[in-house]
Amino acid sequence: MILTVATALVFNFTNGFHDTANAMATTIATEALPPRRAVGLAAVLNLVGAFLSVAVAATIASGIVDQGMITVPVIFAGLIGAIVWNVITWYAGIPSSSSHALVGGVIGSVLVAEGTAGVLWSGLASKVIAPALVAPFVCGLAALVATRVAYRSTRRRSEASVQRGFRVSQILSSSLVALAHGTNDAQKTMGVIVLTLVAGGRLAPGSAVPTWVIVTCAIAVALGTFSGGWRVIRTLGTKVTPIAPPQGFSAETASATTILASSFFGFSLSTTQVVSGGVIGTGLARRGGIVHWLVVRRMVVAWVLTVPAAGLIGASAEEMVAAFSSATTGVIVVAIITAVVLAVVFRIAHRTNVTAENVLDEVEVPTAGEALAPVVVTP
Amino acid sequence: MTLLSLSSYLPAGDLARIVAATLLASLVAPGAVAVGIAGLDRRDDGAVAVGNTLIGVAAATVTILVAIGIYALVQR
Repeated sequence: MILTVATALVFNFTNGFHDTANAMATTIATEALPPRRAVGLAAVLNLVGAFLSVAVAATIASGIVDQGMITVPVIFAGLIGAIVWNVITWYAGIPSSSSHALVGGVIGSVLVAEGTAGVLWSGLASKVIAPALVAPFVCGLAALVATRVAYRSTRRRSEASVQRGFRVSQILSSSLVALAHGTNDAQKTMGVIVLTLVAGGRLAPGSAVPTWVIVTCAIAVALGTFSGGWRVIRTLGTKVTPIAPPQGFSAETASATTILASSFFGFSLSTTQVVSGGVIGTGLARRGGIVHWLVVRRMVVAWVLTVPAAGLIGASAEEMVAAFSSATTGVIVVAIITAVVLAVVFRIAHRTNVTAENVLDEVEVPTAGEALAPVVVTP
Repeated sequence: MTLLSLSSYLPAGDLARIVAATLLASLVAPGAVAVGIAGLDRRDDGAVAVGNTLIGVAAATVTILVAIGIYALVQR
């Protein structure tokens, strides 16, 4: 159980570094903040956000898998699926949903442990698939509208004032995204740890989230965020579309509003998909805007693959754990194998290292004067 | 057909409210920043009082939007 709790914290760390891009990719791309300061701000706000609410901490995977069938090894295997998929997509620089990876991992391990009866398919459709189909379009539309309003309402202003004004404002809007991310995503890991403690008989069902769980989850997501997922930041900030400060502000404002409005009405949207939709929307709104659809296509393919791929890895981990007569031995062996696999991926990634220093090497910076003309679509 | 299938998983009323809220913010937030930028320009042109007023209106609007956002985050 201790190893499963530790694995949950590792997942939270990967969630943080994978999703730093959500809040700060456009802020870094427009140079509203230097890269290190941007991820530092995101880390602090994720830490604060984790303490704001624990309202949905206990609902992770509820309605998607039969909670009565959850055991500690099943949770562990699900986490392994999510962590490995997070690291693979990080290596590829693809912004994919950590939450969907977690759901996929848990579904995979439950399928192996309990069969199809353990998975509530309608819950998967309503909590994962339907929101995933809607989120990018809602935020994309909002970002498109916001970008057009931003450019139209400042067309008589000097370029310097416009750039400066939206750069400063963008820090605020991206901070709100970081805060929302800390609140939403740290709670998911809190939920996993609570579930582990309940499944292991250390906590009564329905108990409040222990303070140490809140504190450790907050620290893990903040540390992950601070380590900066530079590969994903580069993709979202520079490779989908060139971003000017009015666009960065519009994308982040649309993202923050979509995330906050949907969570207020009880829907859990993927922050990653929302922000990606916002970046695409703002690219479509700009004069001469270039949206690199090949990059978008890679992202969409990764989104589609996330649940089944994390599920496959989670299922394999569960099979391996179950192959040992003692679950503890199985968990330890799988943890060691996973650590080796992750070390290999990080080693390979180090050869083409993306850091705070070179994250903007390929950036194209458009000017404010390029607003509101037809979009150029590139393959 | 797709929309009908979606509506059985996402209540259309809630979805409409989310879209309305995001679109409203998409109009108000950049508009507020534009007012602030106009205020900065006015101040640079020597109309300090008008500039400060515009900047104040922009700051107040953005502050209200952020407060609503944090309320939504905490009060769900």
